[in-house]
This record gives sequence, C-alpha cells and structure tokens, in this order.
Amino acid sequence: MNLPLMIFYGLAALVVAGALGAVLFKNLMHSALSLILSLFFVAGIFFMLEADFLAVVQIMLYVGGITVLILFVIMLTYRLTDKDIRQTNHQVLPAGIAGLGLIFVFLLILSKTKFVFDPGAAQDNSVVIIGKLLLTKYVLPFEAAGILLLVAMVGAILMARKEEK
Amino acid sequence: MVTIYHYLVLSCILFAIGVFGALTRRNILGILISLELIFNAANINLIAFSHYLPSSEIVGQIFAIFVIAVAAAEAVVGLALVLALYRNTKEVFAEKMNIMKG
Repeated sequence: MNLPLMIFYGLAALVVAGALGAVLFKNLMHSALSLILSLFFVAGIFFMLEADFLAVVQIMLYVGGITVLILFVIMLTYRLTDKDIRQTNHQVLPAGIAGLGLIFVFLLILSKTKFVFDPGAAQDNSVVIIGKLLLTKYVLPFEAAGILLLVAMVGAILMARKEEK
Repeated sequence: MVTIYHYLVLSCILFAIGVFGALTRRNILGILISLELIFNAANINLIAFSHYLPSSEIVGQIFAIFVIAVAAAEAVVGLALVLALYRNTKEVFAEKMNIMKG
C-alpha cells in the first residue's frame, strides 16, 4: 500500500468517525465538537484533491465560523439539551434502514458507471485560477452570492434581536 | 493510487450519515449539524469530479465555493430562527414547533 492511499484512508476514517459522533452523541455539545473534527479532516481531503484554496476556506468558514455559531446557540439553549432528555425520535430503525439503503443504491450506481479520467493535468495555483474565473466568467453568481449573504445577515439580525416593548 | 471512486464512496457514506442524523434528531440544532455534514458530502463530490474528470477550468471548485457561501447563509438564518423560536416558546425540539398547524 502506498503513502497517498494510507493518508486517504486515515483521513477518511477520521471524517467518518467525526460524522458518526456528530450524529450519535447524546450530549449536543459533544456532537458539535465531533462535527468540528469531521469538518477539519474534510479540509485534509480537499488538500489531497489539490484544492488548497477551498481547504483553507473550509477551515476558516466551517471550523472557525459555522461550528462556533452552532456552539453559541447550543450554549444559549443549553437547559433543553441536557443529556438526560431523549435526543432521538422514534424513527431510528427506519432511518437506519434508509441510510444503509442510500449507501447501497449509491454503490450500485458507482459500480455501473465508467468515468473518463484526465491523465494528470498539470494545474496552476488554484487560487489564481479561481480569482480570475470569479471576476470574469462567474462574476454574476459571485455578486448574487454577495447579495444573498447581505440579505441573510440582515434577516438574521432582524430575527434574533430582542423585541422592544 | 487513490482513484475517484475512493472519494465518491467517502462522500456517499458521509451523505448517508447526514441523512440518518437529520431524520432521527429531535433537537433542531442536531438537524442543523446533520445538514452541515450533507453539504460537506456534496462538496467532496464536486471537488473530486473537478480534480479527476477532463476539464479546462476548475468549475467544480467554483461551484463548491458557492455551496459554502449558501451553507453559511443557511446556518446563520437557521440559527437565528432557532433563537427566535426558543425565546418565544422555550422549546428546541422539532416536534413541539407546530404553532402554525391548523
């Protein structure tokens, strides 16, 4: 077994372990910390795919931003997430069957598909390419994403602030 | 050698775990955590295709950037909704949030 494959299996095992923890832990605080582990190693997977810019964005935005936000909200609502309260509904068995069935169907599709591979296309620095594409060909979606983020920020402030009497 | 199938199988397992979590959690914050896992499964898929399949541009990575932007907006609005609901009803469980039911 060569080195890239070993690194991939290590990263994949940590990603799946973190995801299972995020889904299965009773205490939601542990669950969010486990999510941080999983997302961090997803950034490692991005590095293996030579997507260096996206790996850094993943660490900054997901690990540093979204999960911290989730942790804040968990702490603000903490009395209802204590570990002696049931955290799952009555659909664990059907949902487990659905998840395994989903994996089975995906593997069936993958085993029947032949992909055309690119024989080692030498890539430039991906930051340069992404920057050029975002300001030339994809400038309209870029601006739309900016407007979306602005609207989301204003909406979140409007909904989360205290109502004045 | 790591092939595209390795990444696709990893992404499919991550997606299934996220779907399982979104279906079984009672707490709405747990459902949001599971949604983040699903977004990440989609991102791994997009970047793997962008890396392995012939293409002159890295369109998959551009798409993944927009997925991350939309995921950030979704998380912010979702958490603000959870806070507003918690302030009004003192509940974070999904089955209790039925005040719009006729």
